[in-house]
Amino acid sequence: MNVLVRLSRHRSARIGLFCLLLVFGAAIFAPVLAPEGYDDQNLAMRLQPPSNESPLGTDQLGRQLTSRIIWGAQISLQIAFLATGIGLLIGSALGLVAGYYGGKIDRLIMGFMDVLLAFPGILLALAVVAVLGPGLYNVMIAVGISGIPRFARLVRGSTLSVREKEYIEAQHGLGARDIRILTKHILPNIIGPIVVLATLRVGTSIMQAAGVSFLGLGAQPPLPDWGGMVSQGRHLLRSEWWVGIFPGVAILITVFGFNLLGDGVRDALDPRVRIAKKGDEPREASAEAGRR
Amino acid sequence: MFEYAMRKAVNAIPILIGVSILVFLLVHLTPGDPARLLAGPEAYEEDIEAIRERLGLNDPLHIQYWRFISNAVRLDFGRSFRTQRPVMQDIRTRFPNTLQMAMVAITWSVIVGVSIGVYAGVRPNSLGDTVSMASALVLVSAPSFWKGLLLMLVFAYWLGWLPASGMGESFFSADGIKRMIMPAITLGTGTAAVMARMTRSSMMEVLNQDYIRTARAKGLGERNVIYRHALKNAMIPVVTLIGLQLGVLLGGAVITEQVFAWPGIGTLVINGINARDYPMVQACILLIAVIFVVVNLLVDLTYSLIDPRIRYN
Amino acid sequence: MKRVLSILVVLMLMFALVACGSPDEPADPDNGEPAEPAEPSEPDDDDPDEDAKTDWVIALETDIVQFDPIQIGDATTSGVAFQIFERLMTRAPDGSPIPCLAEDWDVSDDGLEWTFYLRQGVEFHDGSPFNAEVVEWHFTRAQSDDSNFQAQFSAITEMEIVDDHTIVFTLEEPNAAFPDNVIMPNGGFIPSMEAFESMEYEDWAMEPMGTGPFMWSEWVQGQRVELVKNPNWWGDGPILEKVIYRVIPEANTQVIELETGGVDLITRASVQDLERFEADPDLNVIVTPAYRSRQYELNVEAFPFGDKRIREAVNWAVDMPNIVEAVASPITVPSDSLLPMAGWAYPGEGVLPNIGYDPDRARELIEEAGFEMVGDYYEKDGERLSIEIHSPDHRYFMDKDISEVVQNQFAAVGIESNVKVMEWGAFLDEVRAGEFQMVFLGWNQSGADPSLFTDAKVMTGGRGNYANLSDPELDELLREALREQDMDVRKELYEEAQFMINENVWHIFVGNESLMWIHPANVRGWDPGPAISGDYTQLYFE
Repeated sequence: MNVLVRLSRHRSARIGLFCLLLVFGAAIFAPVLAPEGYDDQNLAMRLQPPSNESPLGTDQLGRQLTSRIIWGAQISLQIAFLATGIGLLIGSALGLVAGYYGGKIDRLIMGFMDVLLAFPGILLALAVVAVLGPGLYNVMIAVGISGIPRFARLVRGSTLSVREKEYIEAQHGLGARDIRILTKHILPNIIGPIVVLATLRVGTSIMQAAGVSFLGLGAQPPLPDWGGMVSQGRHLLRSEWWVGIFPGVAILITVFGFNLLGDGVRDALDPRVRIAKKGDEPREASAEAGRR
Repeated sequence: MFEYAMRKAVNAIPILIGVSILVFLLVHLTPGDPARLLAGPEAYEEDIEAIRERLGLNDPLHIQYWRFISNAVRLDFGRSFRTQRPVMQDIRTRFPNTLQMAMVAITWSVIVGVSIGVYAGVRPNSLGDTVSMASALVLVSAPSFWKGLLLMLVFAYWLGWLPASGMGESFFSADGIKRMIMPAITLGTGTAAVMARMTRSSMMEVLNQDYIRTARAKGLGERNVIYRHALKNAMIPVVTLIGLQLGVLLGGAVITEQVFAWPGIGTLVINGINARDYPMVQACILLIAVIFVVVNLLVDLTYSLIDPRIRYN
Repeated sequence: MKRVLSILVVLMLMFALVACGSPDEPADPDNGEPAEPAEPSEPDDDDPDEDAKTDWVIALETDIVQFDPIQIGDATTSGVAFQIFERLMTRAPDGSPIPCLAEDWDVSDDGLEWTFYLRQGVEFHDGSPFNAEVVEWHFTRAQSDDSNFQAQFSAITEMEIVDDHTIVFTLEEPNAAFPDNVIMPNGGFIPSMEAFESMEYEDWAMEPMGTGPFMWSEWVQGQRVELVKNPNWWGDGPILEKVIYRVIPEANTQVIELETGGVDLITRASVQDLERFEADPDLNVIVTPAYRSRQYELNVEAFPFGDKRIREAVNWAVDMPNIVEAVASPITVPSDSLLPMAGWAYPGEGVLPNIGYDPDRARELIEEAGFEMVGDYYEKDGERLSIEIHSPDHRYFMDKDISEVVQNQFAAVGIESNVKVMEWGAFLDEVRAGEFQMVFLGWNQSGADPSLFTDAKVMTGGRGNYANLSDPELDELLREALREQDMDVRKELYEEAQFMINENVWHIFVGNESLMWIHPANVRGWDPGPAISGDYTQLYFE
């Protein structure tokens, strides 16, 4: 509770929440808010510049960018949460196991994580989408996979640090099963940094998915995927700049919101984390931020 | 120290083998037939089969992998499917272009980022701090390809000050510098912002330390305190970050190069993926991975050099 | 602080060192010196204009690949190769074969023996002579395992050198399209045999040595290719001193470079730019429909296209001419045949049976086929009338966008559909394997011979017949048309064939894609067309 109170008092978290409120609002109320459907074409109205009738202009098939961007919030948030979720769940599970059991299992898992980390995130995601084929869900999986090693590293490190604590030892003595120790005792103790990384990672996920779309392997048309829309607009940039620029603004607002919120969550959970120097967490977080 | 470095280096070998297996599997699992792409959509099926045979694509996978890895240890990555030239030859001409861009990007972003970070860090919660940190966060929050397109729109199309894309023939010419500006800005803004944020928080922490208070109490000038004492210590985590950012920049270069049609290794790898040019993709990714690993190693070592509190055993 | 700084510098240096040992200067890989004779031919005094520009700068989207003619598979390299190499025949502006390295040729009455009389006194850029031996060597290589075009060249069963400048090709079967199929594709470019024998293969493939009007000079990878005039060329010209290609992948940048004089020729521009250029007196815009057909192919072996009524219905359901007009004009021009309208076999607009736009008629046909509307879409026995439209992205002009509009118009008559945009490599795999219902495809040829289209696309088992189309009667007709040597008879046969193709309703025809050239208005002596566009020998600036 304390955390939430601190969060609500945090200035940047408030601004972040406001941005996200806009985006979530757009996603939820798209059917009401959007003047048209995202695929309502009007070939007579192709490439209209922003005006009163079409506030953000129209694209190459005469679709209203306003509507497409509003509908696109649904897509973007789906990517954000599912992709981050995949990385979070699989990565944390692997990290817990590696950190808790140690030894060969640890070396095997972390070795594999190091291999994944040696790929630039965007290339790994791109390669995975290339294998799976383009499409919204495949992009989510790909971006999720490239997030796995970051969660795994973080969770492993935190697990290691609590594993030897007395209360864990005590549980062993009481004959508790591993799974119980892991979920009931270790996980709650390391949840803080995981939440921080996850909030920061949401922004990265959106950005990476947009990057994959930009390189031509994104969601299938006519879905209004923001990254794909920027990519489309790229070819029209010189004369019809609005097609590519406005969807980018939408990405910016969303990611900005998540980043501010992430800062807030970090401060709210543990003010000391912000200035910690060594160890996996801050490095992960800062590398995370840099990956954008 | 040396021993530690050696041990780290040896540890990197299995990682690189892992990378080689993973990249090999990824390229071979990707649907799309190199021979078909080479021969073109109008080709005859018999010809495609002949090309497959010639490229050795009909051999079992493990044999293909062995061929790849046994040559790779001798730094021979084979010939490109597309150009028939040795892959290393193309990488040698393209990689310096990427490096050039990454170096310019990291140089300006470190200078600008650290300056802003120091500025903000010594006056926390002031207007200047808030504005600079907010802008930094906006910059990290925008996708780099979009930032690139925006720059291109404004400076190349609207104002006409800079060439929209491509690389100059020499970096040391007016044309070369002009063409470098937008890609380097696009690539470096994220890093600059991260640097600024990191420097700021590091600076704030250091300024709260006892020895700074002592220095102040001794009546040393504020300037002196900040630049002689605080900055030095605040830089430790920042230096680490520079190393990490170099790796990040190389990844980011893939997209920046696409936006500005920069003839670097990113373009090479994307074209390689599109053409299913297995040797090219394998070599490029392996190279990038090697750089990643080496940079991380260097970062670790640097850290131990500048922070004597850390001991390796 | 100093320590930190020095470490920083060391870190960067080490990074640079580890990363690569070579200098930052983008260097031409391992080419020593350009190998051609260094004869900076002094400009003759009879030049029309002393100050006139003598270099012709062309924008390329992609870099060149390699110059072994029997492996050239991309348009960029092919265009550059055209300046350096020559073929036995070349094309007249109307696409018909005319002499080049062969001064003349005979065809025996049975159509099996082609005798080529080679031009005498022609030398390759390395000074070695061009003769029958070289021709035989080249076409033998083209049939070997090193070739990417074995299948085409296997049409030649025998080559016989009669004398130094006469060679006879014997074919497996009569083939009216022999020049188009074998002599004039990239594989027909004849390189120097001596150079091949004296050089390492990879150097040879990157320093092309032909007989053409321009000679290989310099290549800066990813940036620029430079060719210089061949002063010893057998023909008349060239007037230019240099042909320079600049690699500029981005269309917008190409446009800017053209406007600022950085390049003289671009072959791609947006519709908006085109409109502006056309109004500009300093620029010349040429847009010509080319031998490039675009169509949706309907897989007759896949649901629901086994039923001809459904094939007709999807045609009635889309207003293709208007879609093309709105989205892809003026680059793509609506068409009603598989054969290119610019070719000699196209009978003219409105002659062939074609299907217009009538959503009601589409619904009727679908209902006739036993479907009924359930909710928004048609169903039959619980199966939704649902179509996946395979579409590439930016492979053909506005391909994905056209597909999106088609999907929209399908929905309007009650056909559920989705567009499956795939990356090209994966797309080709699926399409080639016949794993599709309906696919946006193009077929590009540089020659106009109709067999290049029909025999590949609609003959049973044709190499581009991915939709498993088959009509024995049509096959028979096409075989006859290929054996026939009389042009008038061939024309009639192909007109009949087009009737049969259209009556089978195997396609939704989209149109023909144009070729486009935009260059300064003071360029003279150059007349590009779909059959031949790279002849710069008479080109000069006024």
